[in-house]
Amino acid sequence: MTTDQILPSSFRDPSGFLFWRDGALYRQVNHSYREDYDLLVSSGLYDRLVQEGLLIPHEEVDLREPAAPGMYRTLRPERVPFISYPYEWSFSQLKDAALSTLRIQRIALDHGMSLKDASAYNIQFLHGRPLLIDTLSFERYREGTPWIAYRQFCQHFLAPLALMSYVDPRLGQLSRLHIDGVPLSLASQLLPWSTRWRFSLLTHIHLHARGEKRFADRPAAVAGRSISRTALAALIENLQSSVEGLRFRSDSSAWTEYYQTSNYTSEALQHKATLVAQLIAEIEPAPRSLWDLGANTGRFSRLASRKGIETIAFDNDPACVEQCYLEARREGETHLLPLLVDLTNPSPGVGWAHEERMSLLERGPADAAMALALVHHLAIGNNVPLGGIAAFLSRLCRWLIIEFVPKTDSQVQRLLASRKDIFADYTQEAFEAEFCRHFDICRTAPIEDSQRTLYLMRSRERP
Amino acid sequence: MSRLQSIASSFFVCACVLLAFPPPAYAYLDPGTGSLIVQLLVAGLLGVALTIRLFWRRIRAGVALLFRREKLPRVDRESHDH
Repeated sequence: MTTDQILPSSFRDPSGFLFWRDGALYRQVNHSYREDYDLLVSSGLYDRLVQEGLLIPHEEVDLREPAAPGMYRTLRPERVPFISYPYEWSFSQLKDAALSTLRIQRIALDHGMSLKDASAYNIQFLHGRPLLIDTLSFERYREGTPWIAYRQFCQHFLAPLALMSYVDPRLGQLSRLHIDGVPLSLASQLLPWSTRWRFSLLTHIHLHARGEKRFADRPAAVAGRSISRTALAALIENLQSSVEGLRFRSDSSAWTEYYQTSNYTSEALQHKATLVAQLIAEIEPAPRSLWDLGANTGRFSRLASRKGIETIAFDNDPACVEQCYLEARREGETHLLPLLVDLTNPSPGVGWAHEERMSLLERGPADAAMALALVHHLAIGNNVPLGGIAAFLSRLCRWLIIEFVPKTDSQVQRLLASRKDIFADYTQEAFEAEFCRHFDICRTAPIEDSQRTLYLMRSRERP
Repeated sequence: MSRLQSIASSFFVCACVLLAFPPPAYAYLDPGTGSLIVQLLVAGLLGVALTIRLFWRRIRAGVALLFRREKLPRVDRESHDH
């Protein structure tokens, strides 16, 4: 008797669903999707997209017991090491995901198929590049039919990108509030009036929002409308040039220049890097996944990712994550995924029944985590007691490399410059005592030419 | 694209809309009435613009041949995003 666990996010499309069985992830293709699935394969579209790295590869498997009635095929897709969400992506990550979606749609049309959805959640980063993970997103293209996913594309991609580009990169967080993409009426209101001079934004956002409002209660108005193949191709091409034309604009971030302005001497910085590399190498067995918490632009994350460890570089500054991603893309790094996460308010479980999109903790634990120059921000910048930090970190990793920054350090002094020091308990002794409740300290290493100390710790709760 | 061309294209698209009656599409996603209408108009406009552009290139190439220039005139790279 097998116990299957159907993924809570896999309920919208009746074509099939994802499920776990015996530690493996499968996708059931239902009989209702048979024709489209067969066409995906027979038209050569599947091969072409997999070859271009735009679609998750899978193998067809023969499970004796289907997970649910109506099974036509069962697929075992390649595993994505870490599922991330659009509200955790930087501007260019979302932009690349949008361009991949449009490229997939163009190739699909050439093969007589069309994307029936354009959800940003169907895109994931694998080996550093965005690709479609929903094999059941295609349907036969029928001459004259419009692109059914046009609105979803605008809500999931174009609207947040335009807002991040023209208003503020932090508005990418709107996707966390609106699980089916940013409502176009909201985007239209928030965008500067001058964006109406751009044909693409005038039509796909502003006019689109007005059209939605005007025809909201008039379903009969669309019966029997048609759109030529040329017009559809022109629409996709225009969406592509619209997305390509959007740029990341941000004032210089305080954090992207951190290493130039901090009190680290170059010797201390170099010694810290050497120590971190040593501590990573000491972890036994070698970690397969590592979360760098407060990674800045990923300088130390790369010590892990370049050793082949699947590394996530979390930071709460959009400019840092953007810079980290652009560098990773430029260098063709395949084991580093930069993500925008504020650890004082990490991604919660959202969507239907709180289960559609996982919280950060649900996506762990990682084999190892790094918290370099982070504790003082949580303890003093956000008033979290040291015990609370230790308890939280013990929930998300098995091994921990952590840096303690004492109160005398100029970075801590900066945090205390404009406030009363209410942190009598913020001492190295208290830090060790609190962390020893959840971790065993395996090694302590002071950083030369600084007052800071690095620790390698092993979780007691997650051996 | 000039304003006149835009207006002409809009009329052309509306005419196409009224004349065409394909079977309605059914999908698990609600495409939205207003969204479909906007898509129809915008795609129609862009489709017409694309056709005009291709046609214009052919005329220019034809004229160039007529005057037997040594080289074909350079075709300007035109953005679709006006």
